[in-house]
Amino acid sequence: MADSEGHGRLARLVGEPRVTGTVSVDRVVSAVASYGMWVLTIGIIVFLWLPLSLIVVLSFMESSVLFPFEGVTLANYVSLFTNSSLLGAARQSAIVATTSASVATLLGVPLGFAIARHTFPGRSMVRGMVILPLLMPGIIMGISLLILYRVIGFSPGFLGTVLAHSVYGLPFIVLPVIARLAVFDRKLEEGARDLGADGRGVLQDVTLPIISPAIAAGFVFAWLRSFEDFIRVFFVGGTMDALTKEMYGMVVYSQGTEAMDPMATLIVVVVASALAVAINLRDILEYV
Amino acid sequence: MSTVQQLGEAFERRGERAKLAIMAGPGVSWLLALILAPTAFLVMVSFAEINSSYDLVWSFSVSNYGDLFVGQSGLFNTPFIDSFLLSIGIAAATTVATVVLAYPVAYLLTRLSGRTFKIVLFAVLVPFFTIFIVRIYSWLAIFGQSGLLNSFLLATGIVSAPVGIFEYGLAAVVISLTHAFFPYMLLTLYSSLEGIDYGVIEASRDLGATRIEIAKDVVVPLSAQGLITGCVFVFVPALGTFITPQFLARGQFTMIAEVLASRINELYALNYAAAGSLFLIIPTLIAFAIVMRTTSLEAMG
Repeated sequence: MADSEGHGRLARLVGEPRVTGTVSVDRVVSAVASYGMWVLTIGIIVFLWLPLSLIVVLSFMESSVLFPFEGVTLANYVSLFTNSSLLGAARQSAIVATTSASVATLLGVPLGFAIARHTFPGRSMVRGMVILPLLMPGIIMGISLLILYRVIGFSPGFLGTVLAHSVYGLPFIVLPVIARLAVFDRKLEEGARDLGADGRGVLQDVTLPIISPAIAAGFVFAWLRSFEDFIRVFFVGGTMDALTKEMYGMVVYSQGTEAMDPMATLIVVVVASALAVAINLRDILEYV
Repeated sequence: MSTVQQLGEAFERRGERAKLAIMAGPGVSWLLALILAPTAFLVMVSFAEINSSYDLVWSFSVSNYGDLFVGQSGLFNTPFIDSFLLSIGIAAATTVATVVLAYPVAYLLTRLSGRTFKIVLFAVLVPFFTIFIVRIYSWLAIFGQSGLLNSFLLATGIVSAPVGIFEYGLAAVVISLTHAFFPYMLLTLYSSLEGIDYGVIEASRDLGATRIEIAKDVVVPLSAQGLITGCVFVFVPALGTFITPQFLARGQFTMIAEVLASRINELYALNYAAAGSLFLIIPTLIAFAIVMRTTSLEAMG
């Protein structure tokens, strides 16, 4: 995505008075469109936030519904923090996500470099293959890997899930690296080389620092996708715990449901704070 | 060119190739072993049979496909076909809804800057990063007989009995999917709208085009690429969604992913599930072809 000032470009020009005030109908349309867009946007923000805020409110409620109101409590949080299987599952999911995103990064960064900077037979095919894990429905990945594991006699579990999630996370690393290298000014590398840096020095001191924000953002995405995945781990996770599997069981079999709202609330709060920091630090749209 | 030079160049080429193999090799083998091979294998299994001890028996039988299509009450009258068609309808409705909702917001985002831009961005992105299962779960308390919508309507006396459309079912599934996938559409549309050279819009305005004409003839065609990519990235995952109907349809209907999962979990019918999977693999491949034709990978970061 373009530079951080890019969105100002349209804004500046839209605000300018019109030179040819042809028809008043057009003015009305333009005013309606402008207000309408704001009304709609605010409506959509309410739509996006309504269910999540309700969860936050419900997490402090005595009963699991708003009406009839029965009082405010912290008991749900107590049941969350005493629910060791849920907390253990959350920890396990974090371990899987960290391992998978790390593997995806180790494989994806060099692959991104190879695609962006080298020509080789089958390059366009490889470029295409990279987006497949992104497009392929989770259930297909889950079923196909389950069948493969069964036939080769590999039992589902931690390793099986890490393999699935690392390939799932690969596009989130490779695509930003390719995009970043596409706009990379190679004169910087030439300059470093002219000043006496060797290949390794150029990579370490020039290239990697410039593309590392893209890699870091890719890592976060790959991590999140692994952490939130249910269907892949459902098929290839075997008996391994996972947060999403626990949550699924809580909802579908209505077991220990009171811990669900506080858990969801914690996730919303963590995400919101991390995002607030990220948005204020840099132009994060460059990386999504 | 001397032999020594030729030899030197050959070595250099070999070095280059070896370097390339080290860089691309592991990633490519990951994709081959964990995406392409399993998918090809799945297609093979869809023609296999399962014996009484639940082992796969290699054969070339189309009976799995027969089971999908031929029901007791005739051709194409099977639960699988019903689920497949319903899933397509749900995915299509979700895609249309996200386009209608995301276009104006994406356009507004291109016009904002500074603090307002950051606030609106924050407001739309938090739900995006909140994990999927939480987003779907969050609608559980809103729909249903005793959900927020129905209890509000009952408490205020607007209705005397729970309203069907606010109970678990089709509306709940489509609305929660729209909620869950809206940010995908928004971000792809925003990035393509953001790339439009405003000079083009200005020029058409100077030439006397009205706002509606500009929207119809300039903005939409120029953002078509983002629109197509956005549609693909909403339609395909919506088609294959499993958690959403499990949480919010509450047994009123089953979507295709649920049929496949239940066949594996309850009947161990890998071959049947493999045959059914093809109905998700084919849309994926079509989507893949569309994305490859319309989008450059450099623009997908």
